[in-house]
Amino acid sequence: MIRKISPDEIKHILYLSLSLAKVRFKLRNEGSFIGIFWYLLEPLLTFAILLLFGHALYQNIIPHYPLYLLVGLVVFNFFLAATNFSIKAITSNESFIKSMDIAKEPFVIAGLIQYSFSHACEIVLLLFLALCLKVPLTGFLVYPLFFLFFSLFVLGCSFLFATIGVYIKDLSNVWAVLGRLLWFATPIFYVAPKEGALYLINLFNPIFYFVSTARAIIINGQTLDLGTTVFVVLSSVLMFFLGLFSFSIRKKDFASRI
Amino acid sequence: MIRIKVCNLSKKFDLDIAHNDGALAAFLRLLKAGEKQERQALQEVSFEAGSGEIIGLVGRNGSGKTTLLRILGGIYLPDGGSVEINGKAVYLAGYAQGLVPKLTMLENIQLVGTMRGLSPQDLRRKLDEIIAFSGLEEYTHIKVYQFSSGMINRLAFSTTIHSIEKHNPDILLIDEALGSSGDIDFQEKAMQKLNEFVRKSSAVILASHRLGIIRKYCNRALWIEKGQIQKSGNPDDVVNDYVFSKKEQTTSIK
Repeated sequence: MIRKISPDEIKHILYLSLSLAKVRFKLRNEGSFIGIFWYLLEPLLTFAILLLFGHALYQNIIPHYPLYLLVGLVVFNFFLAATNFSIKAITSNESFIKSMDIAKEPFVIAGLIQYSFSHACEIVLLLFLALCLKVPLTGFLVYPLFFLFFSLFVLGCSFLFATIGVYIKDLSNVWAVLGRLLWFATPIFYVAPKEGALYLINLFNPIFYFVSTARAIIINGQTLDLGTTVFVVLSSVLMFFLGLFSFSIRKKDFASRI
Repeated sequence: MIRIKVCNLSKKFDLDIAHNDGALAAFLRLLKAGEKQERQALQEVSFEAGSGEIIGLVGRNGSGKTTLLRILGGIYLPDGGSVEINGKAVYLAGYAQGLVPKLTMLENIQLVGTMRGLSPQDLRRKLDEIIAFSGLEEYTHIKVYQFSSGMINRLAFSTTIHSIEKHNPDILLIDEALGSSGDIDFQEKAMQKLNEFVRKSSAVILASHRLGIIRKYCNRALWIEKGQIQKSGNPDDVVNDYVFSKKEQTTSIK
């Protein structure tokens, strides 16, 4: 059912993923005067609008509210953008998948690489904001380690969504609604409630934990405590293998279904 | 040496998914399990191909030729029966598949070459050869959407054929991909190149509606009808019977 992949195959998959990500990156910025600044403009505008409303409400409750807001936005955006992309990762590459016996994983990994790049641009923004707010920058040194595991979690979700997307063609519409609901349910621009329905939802919302951890690292400069480290590592590794497993057992069937 | 051995091969497609593939439909399908609609694309197909054989596949659209080739090429999984492939098999379909119109010719060569398994070193080595063969040296930095269909065919054929050259395929599975590339001069060049491949390969299976090609190049032919082998044998006999059945059907419709 699932066979072992050789180091050469892994190298080839990564090379293909990078090539596809480059193509997608180029196509996205095709014919645009502001090119890659679109990557920054989108979160910046959302940030500006939410800051306008949230600052008055939360500036006295949440220390460094602008940073709190931007960390929440960029972490959630990375998850949402990568998963949105993954839903059509297989179906939009029908011409390749139906005409050659090819590894399917790169079509999904390419999305993660592409959105990691835009995430890196957003981190530069965060760095700039932290400098303006005179927040110590030590947390930014730990963040790459956190992001490594977060990417693994997102990649697992992406593999799962790519698989389901082959069988349910309107999954992108379903996810557009559910993703938006999850966005509102996650405390991105407001304080995490200590009781009530939202509190219960967030108990089972892994993105809430990732957002909170990212905030603890960047805003408070905390190194990860044992409990958080165990959660981040375990949930990432579990999600990655769950996603990869479902993708691997179905991937040979993709060509007949698209 | 037997290169391909196919035994009682079957393949069916889920028509429900093809017709209605939304989340709600999937949920409703779960509720009424057992009422699955399927199309039998291949049924109990068996044959063998040995080294040096060129087998032609003839049959109407939707008869199962492409499905058979895709199973042999490792693209589709069979639902029943067995397939044994001895050697490296490469499936060749419409060459223009995978080209991205908004990329330049050079970028498309890099993309398709990479997808076909060329490493960066291979690409650097083969690039000039691919461009020279296509005869489109002046257009390398032009985006492909500005190309005519003939130019697209030239680019696609040249990239595909030079990319698969690296793999030295033992078995070629050619699906309607002969002699439709560019103008007459290029078609001749393309046919010569393809002939080189055919000569080097141990076994070739060639599906085409151009019956002259089947008669000229194949030493055996299979006529597939509704997913089953209708007749197998000498290409002239098989093609004649196939043409006769088509004429008969046309007459009966009239």
